[in-house]
Amino acid sequence: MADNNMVASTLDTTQYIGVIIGNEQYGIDIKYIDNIVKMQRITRVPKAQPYFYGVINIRGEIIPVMSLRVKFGLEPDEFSKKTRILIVKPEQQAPVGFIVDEVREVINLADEDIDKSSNTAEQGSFISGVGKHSKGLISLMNVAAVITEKEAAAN
Amino acid sequence: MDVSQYLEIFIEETKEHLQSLNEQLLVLEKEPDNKETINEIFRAAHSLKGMAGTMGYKRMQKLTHDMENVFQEIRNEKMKVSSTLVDGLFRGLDALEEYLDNIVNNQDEGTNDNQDIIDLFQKELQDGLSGGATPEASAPASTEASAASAPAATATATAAAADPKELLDSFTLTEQEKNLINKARSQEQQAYIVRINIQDTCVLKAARAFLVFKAIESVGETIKSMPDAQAIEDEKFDFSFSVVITSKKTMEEVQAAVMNVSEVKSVDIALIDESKCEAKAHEEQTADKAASGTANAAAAAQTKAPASTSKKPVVNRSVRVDIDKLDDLMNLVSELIIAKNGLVSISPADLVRDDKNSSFRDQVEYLERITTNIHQSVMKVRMVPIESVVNRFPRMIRDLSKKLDKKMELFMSGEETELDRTVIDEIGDPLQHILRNAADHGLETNEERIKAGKPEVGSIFLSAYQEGNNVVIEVRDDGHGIDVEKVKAKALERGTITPDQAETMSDKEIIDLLFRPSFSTAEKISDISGRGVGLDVVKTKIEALGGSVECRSVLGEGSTFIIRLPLTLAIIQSLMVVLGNEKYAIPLGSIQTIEDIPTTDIKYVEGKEVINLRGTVIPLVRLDKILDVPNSKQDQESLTVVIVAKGDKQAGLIVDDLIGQLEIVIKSIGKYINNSKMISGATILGDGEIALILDANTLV
Repeated sequence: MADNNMVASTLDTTQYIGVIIGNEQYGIDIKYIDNIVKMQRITRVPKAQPYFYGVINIRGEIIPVMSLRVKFGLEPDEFSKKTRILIVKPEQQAPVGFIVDEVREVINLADEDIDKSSNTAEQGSFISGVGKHSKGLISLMNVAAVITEKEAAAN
Repeated sequence: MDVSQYLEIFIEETKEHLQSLNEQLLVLEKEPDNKETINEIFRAAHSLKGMAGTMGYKRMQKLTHDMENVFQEIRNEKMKVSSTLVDGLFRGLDALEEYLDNIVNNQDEGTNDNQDIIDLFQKELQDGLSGGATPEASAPASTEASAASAPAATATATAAAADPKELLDSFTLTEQEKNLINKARSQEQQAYIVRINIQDTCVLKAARAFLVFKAIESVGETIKSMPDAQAIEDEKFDFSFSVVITSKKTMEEVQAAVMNVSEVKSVDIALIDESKCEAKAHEEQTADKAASGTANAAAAAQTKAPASTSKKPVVNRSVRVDIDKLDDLMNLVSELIIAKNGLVSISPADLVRDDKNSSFRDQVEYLERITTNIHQSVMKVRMVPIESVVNRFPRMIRDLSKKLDKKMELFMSGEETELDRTVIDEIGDPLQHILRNAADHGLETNEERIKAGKPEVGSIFLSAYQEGNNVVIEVRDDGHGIDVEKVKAKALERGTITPDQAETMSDKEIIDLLFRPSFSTAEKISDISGRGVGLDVVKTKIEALGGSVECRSVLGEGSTFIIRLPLTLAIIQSLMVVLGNEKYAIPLGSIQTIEDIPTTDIKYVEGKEVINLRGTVIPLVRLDKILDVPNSKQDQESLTVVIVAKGDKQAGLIVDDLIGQLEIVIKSIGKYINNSKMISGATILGDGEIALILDANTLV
């Protein structure tokens, strides 16, 4: 863990789970993360949106799983030993699974390290800002947007 | 005082009382001399009045008060129960329900005084009472009524002043109670009689009393209370009640403890000495009746409100679970823990050795048995008797009978049939609609019935029973039945069907037209039914519950509506099928047969694949195509076809293979995935794998 982050960790910091999608690193606010599970068998749901690979069973709960790669317009996933499913639980909404290439680490970001006015929005509203930490830049995922935009697309 | 926190209880209890009043009034109309019924009515009306008053709903209180006066006179046999009187009383109940609705919706009773109903009662009172038929006559009657109706069993508790001697004389003890006191005394405890006077402004006396009992519990033990605990719980006391307690504390300490409860005005306390315990023993036989808790109330009830003599009406107040069912569940959970312990005790080393594996298997089997039983028990807890829905129908039919000027009677059976709670909540409206239909369109007018040689009074039968995994509710009337020709003419007129279709349609198909949207054959549109928005709504609603509805009718003899509902929504029987590498579940309820069809039997109609199965042409649905299943192996010589039906329509679903029947738990796949409604849900199989549930209705 980077030193400068540790120093600031007590004041106004937010913890993010660093994940790899394609060749980019993304951060997902830890408060949304319910669980991280290994890749498992996904039951395909016919006629679903292409980025929905299907549903999985997490302790008796049926959770739809989406591929962030497909969602972000990247190459379809190649499942490896490092592939993980993040069970994300947005406020007021049912949980959903995100397939990511790899889960790296937990990153502490102080508020001043986050650039919210970023105009690097290549993936549009999926990014809520860009965080700066010792190992470089990290795109902070706007979880609500990933889910709501998807709902709009569904209709 | 803010009473909003009690609003919920008030609403629930008011509903309960209104339902009970409705039921009892119906009984009273048939048996005007039934003492027990009138007592029950009186009690319910009285509680209603009290509750409305405490909650500050003055109009509601006024109306119930006047109703109560009427009941009072009936009870005293000064008035006769007439049909007009019962009508008026029902109107009063409706007005009360209206108040309640207002309260539910905006916490205010509204501004309708219902003066006309009150006037009606006053008039009835005057007319009914022999002698002084002056307007003033009702005034004394009402004061008399309210005085007489003062809660039972208060006499012993309130009459006495704070004088200890009087306090001591105000009660007597049974032999058993004396024994308890003597025993306590031998353990260096003292017995006291405590009278608690609650402030006049106190709103929920019962709650206050409960707190007093709590306080007493902290210092000693309650031997008895006057009135008895049940009466106190039901608020059948004025503003004071007495308890006999044993305690190690001094009199002052006990008094202080009780005074700590807020809204207690004063506490009178006196020591019970031995003389009381012994001296009274001789008098016991005579004193017992007046003293022992329930008898006390009952005795008082003879002259006052019929308080504890009538049993509480059974109405769904909240989630009521049979204690036996809970015990069952508890037992099973204990067994589950034992089974778990059994598994824990098997060490990993044992698992490796083959010979020990059998004990592991035993444990798993045991576990399996327990989980199945737990499942069944939990499902039972979810079941509610259908009674809670149908108990309002007799009243409805009575009103319809008056309104339509047709004589009719409702016969109900199988009210105890149980259905899943979710179904129960939804089934009320459709049933009501069908009943109204039966009363309005089904039954003929009195003259027509006599002319047709039928009994003048029409009958409507509502019966519920269980049939396999379904519950069937039948609504049958002995009216004139559905005139198929009339329906056909109407359908032609409306353009619902073409003349060609009309020729070939069977009677049943024509009757089913009634379930189409905007189709009503009633020539006269009444406010009871006949707006043509009816049966299709009924059908949609029932189908949404996973059920089905059909209608059978014989012209001149009557119609029967048959509603079939699944016992439960959460768990269904299904057929598991294989498509490619995927497993799907098809609800057994929609499956008719399973056929092996040689590929050569497939015919083509308008370019679509069909089969001719025993004379019926059934379209085929290649599930693998519709569901985009990869690696399907359907191109064999013979196809496995699952014939499903929706209403009269059928379809053959082609599957790769069958696995078998399975009881599955339906789970939602959530709202995120857009799946064109073919998938109604998912279920988790024994190995943790997920199988999707096909909605056969959308495929037909």
